[in-house]
Amino acid sequence: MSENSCSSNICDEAIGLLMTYQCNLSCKYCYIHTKKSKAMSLDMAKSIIEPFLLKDQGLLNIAFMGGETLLAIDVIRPLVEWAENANWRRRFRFFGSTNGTLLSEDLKLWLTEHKESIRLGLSYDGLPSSQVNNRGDDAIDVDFFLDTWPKQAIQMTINRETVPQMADGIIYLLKKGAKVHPNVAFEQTQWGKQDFSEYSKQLNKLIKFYSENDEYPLISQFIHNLGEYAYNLQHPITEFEVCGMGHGFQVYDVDGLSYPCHILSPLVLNEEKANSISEIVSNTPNAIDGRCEGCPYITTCPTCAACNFIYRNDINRRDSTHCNVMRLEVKAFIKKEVARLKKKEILSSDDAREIDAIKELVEYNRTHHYPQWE
Amino acid sequence: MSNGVFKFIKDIFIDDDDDDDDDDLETSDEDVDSLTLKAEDIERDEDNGQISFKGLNKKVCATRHGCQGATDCDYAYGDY
Repeated sequence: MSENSCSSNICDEAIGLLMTYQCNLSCKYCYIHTKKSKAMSLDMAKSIIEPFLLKDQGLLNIAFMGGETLLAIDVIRPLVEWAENANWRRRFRFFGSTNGTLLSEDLKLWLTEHKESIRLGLSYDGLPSSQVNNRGDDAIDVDFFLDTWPKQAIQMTINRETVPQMADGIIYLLKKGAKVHPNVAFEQTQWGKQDFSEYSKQLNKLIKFYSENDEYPLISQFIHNLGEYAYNLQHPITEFEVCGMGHGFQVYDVDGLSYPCHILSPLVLNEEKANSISEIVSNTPNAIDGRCEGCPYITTCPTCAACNFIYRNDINRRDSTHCNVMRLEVKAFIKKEVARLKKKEILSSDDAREIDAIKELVEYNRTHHYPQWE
Repeated sequence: MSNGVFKFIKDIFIDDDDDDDDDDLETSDEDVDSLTLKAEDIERDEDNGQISFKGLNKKVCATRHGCQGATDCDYAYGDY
């Protein structure tokens, strides 16, 4: 399995378990505004996952969600050991996203021993100064994560305040040996021109870094299929399933009830919205936001349907920040590719087709200006 | 005042590039034209006219909260 793919013969089914509503940090961009003291019991967790484990199917991914995952370690440890010690007919893998602040030496030993069954994904926002700015704590053993799960990317969240340190933060983590997944936070307030201008500068820094250091793994901002975008120009998309929310993926709350995802659950929503959300999701077609109609980048443009709902009351209503960020990333990628193709002595057929796509997309970018949405 | 002097003053004191804050990511026509010329005689492999959404370059799920690819959505997905 390539490091950046998950084909259907590897991951067959995935569920989420909302282990705890609590967190020990208060990150600036967190969508959980009220941290209640709810947690899932061991018996509840077993009763939820056992029917899935009993199926005779491919790999089952069980994602621990929250809140901070490691605040539920007293349930997670016996749960993982219970799953490991039974003789199921399918393979399984636990995953937990964590802020990394609650790793004791004893827990590190346990995680190392069980690292094939449970993988932790660290959220760490680049430079230590950005980490402190966003999350208030940088006393984290990043190397433990890199040593234990070297293929797991570090989730690096970027917001308006930390954009100026974005490139340095990515380079800092890459040079530590990490794979990095930088992403712009989904928030209620939108970026302005200054923020996009700064983002452009950061992308330029990264273009220069990668041109001089091509041995480092690319971040997703520099992974694009320009041929796909050129194809989309001629064949506009109108319907598109953005994520598995409500269509295969489900998250189980502490009481055993299931929701489309952890954001569209009582973890974030009030009771009224939480009770109606499954119906809302199933009655909402996978339609593109009308304002995106005809955009060639729609097939990889980031969005979070849950964040669209909580901030704009509409699963399909996207934010302007990511629209503009996507535009800049594609321009940066084109710039990077132009430099690569100019240097290449002999072009391949794929290079030639990419050049055809570049020509169309440069023209498109020049004639399409992106509005400042609400 | 000559046109040259007027332009000189305008360039210094008047910022009329408000719409081009990201100029430094632009690809020039010269670059596009030179690459087009460079690729002119190269035969393009036949394609079937449809690019799979899942493409060659799978991107990490941008929702960043993802299901680790198990639900096989239209989005290009990847490791959590």
